[in-house]
Amino acid sequence: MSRLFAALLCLWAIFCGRALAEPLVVSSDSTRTLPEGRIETGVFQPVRYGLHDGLELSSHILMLVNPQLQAKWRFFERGRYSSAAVGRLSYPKPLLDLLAGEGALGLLPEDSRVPQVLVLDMDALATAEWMPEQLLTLSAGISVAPRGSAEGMPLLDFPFLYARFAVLKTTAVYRAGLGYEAMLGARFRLAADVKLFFLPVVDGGFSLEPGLSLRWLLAEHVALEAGARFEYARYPPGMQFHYLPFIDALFAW
Amino acid sequence: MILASFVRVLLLCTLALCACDPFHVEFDKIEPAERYQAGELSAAPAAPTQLKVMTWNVKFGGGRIDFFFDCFGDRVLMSKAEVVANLEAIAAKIRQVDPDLVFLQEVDINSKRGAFVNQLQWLLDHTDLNHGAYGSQWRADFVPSDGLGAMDDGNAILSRWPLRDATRLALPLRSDQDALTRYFYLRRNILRAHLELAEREIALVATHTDAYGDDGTKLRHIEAFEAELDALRDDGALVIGGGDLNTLPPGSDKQHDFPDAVCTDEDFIADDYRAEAEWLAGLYGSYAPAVALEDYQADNAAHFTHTVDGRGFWNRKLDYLFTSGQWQPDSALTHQDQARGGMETMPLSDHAPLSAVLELP
Repeated sequence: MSRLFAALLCLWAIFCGRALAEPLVVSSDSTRTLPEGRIETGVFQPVRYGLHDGLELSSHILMLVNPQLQAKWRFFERGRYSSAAVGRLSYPKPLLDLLAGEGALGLLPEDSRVPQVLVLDMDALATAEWMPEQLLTLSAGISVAPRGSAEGMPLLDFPFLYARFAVLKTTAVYRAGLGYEAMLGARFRLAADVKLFFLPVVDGGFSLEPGLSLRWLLAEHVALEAGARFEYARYPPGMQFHYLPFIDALFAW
Repeated sequence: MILASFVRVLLLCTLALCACDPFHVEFDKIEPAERYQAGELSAAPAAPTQLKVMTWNVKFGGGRIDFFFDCFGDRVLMSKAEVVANLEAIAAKIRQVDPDLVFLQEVDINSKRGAFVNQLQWLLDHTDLNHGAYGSQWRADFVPSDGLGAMDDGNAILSRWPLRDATRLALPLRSDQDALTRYFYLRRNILRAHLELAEREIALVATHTDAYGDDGTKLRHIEAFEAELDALRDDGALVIGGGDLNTLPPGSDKQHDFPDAVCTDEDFIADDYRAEAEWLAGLYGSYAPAVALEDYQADNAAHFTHTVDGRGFWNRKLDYLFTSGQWQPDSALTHQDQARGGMETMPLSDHAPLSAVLELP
């Protein structure tokens, strides 16, 4: 059923979608925001909406179990340089309660007692278009998690998820990143980035995440993306290395 | 053209990545064991005339917490305070027995369920044992089952004297599981090490055989254990072997329907040993058991070492010590409680320790 839905969505986007003033962007790692009225999403991507030029809202289908809202605000632009701020508020308790349920992937123990908690992520981005259609982006951010109590908070130490949920076990998680995006001809976009998370929940804890992806612009409204992310990290058990190949389909309206 | 190249590169990358071991669960067939040493070394006699040997499945320092797999509770993870409290009791028992050599099973060295306490190092640092060797039987960056998460649990040999050539020998995997379950499941092993005392070569062999398989894996493990003992003995070493063999001695009165068997999940049922009645006959025939078969058969209950129900009492014997040498007569003791061992052991683990004194020729 999900395959049929994806195929129909793809066909609809190719043949019925209205022509876009700009080609597909789907760029979440730079300061670029979607044009006003534009919606972009992917099978594994959040839904992004250009509220107006310079302000982009996004959320994820996981919102059903992990209520969340993100805003990216491009507040500075001069020549080839621009800056943006990203804020994201989420309420992960329903998701964690779900993961602690019987048969839910075995990620958390069934006896987990998840307290009430909010997670606030804030990032500052600075992008330079150092050559035509080649973007270089620096970022720095912090996550905090105001909560009633840390008592019973489960440790979700699954690869790649750990850096994103570690804030639930500590006061703050800091991160920095460097990203590069470039158009290769008219139809391909290459993206490479590296993120570094500082995880004070572990002594000397960190997660270094390089990623590489190639996006193929199939049509004005549809793209395919494939790539891999890697993780070299100090988790509570010690040093670990993981990788995650992925493939995704992206759509725009 | 470009698309074809892209797809080809993507497939190759995916195959290359998938051929790896993403959660780092696998071992070589034969690989060096991990070596440990106590933070402060205790004095060890240079030329002992006897060795006190002990074997104990310490249940990852879980004491009598009711874990989900015992089917008496739903606990999965322990706090560090719980683990340390249980380890203190285990160390107290080891100090009380004062062994020269200890075979331990189910020692967690870096597991989420054990609050990432290195239990082997902790026990070395809190007993008079100085050196250790470790062979992991269950290691994974993450076990996606019941919230277990990161896991590193295995067999250990602890000794007053330095161990040599400590080696982990892989045992066959179960064949009655689907590929995904088997990938994350236990990888049993034989842990072998050598000890040189007064110019006498002593070979130490510890194991923990399969418990729940329905495909003969346990028998293959017992046969491999016996073959390893045979090979070392034939090479001229004085052999000491032991561990949790997960089966009953020949001639056990009760072989099924144990009162503590409350699990309905087939993954955790180990309650019927009737088909295994003679699986240990070879070991009993070739080696001196710490508890002689006639002693056991005369009074099974005095030598029971296991129950999963912490509110009950030991109801079967699963733990063994064998040697190619000779045990001191009447030195074997199954430490069941205050009366038989000088300390209550029911609260410490789901297994009771077994000790015996070996005469050195």
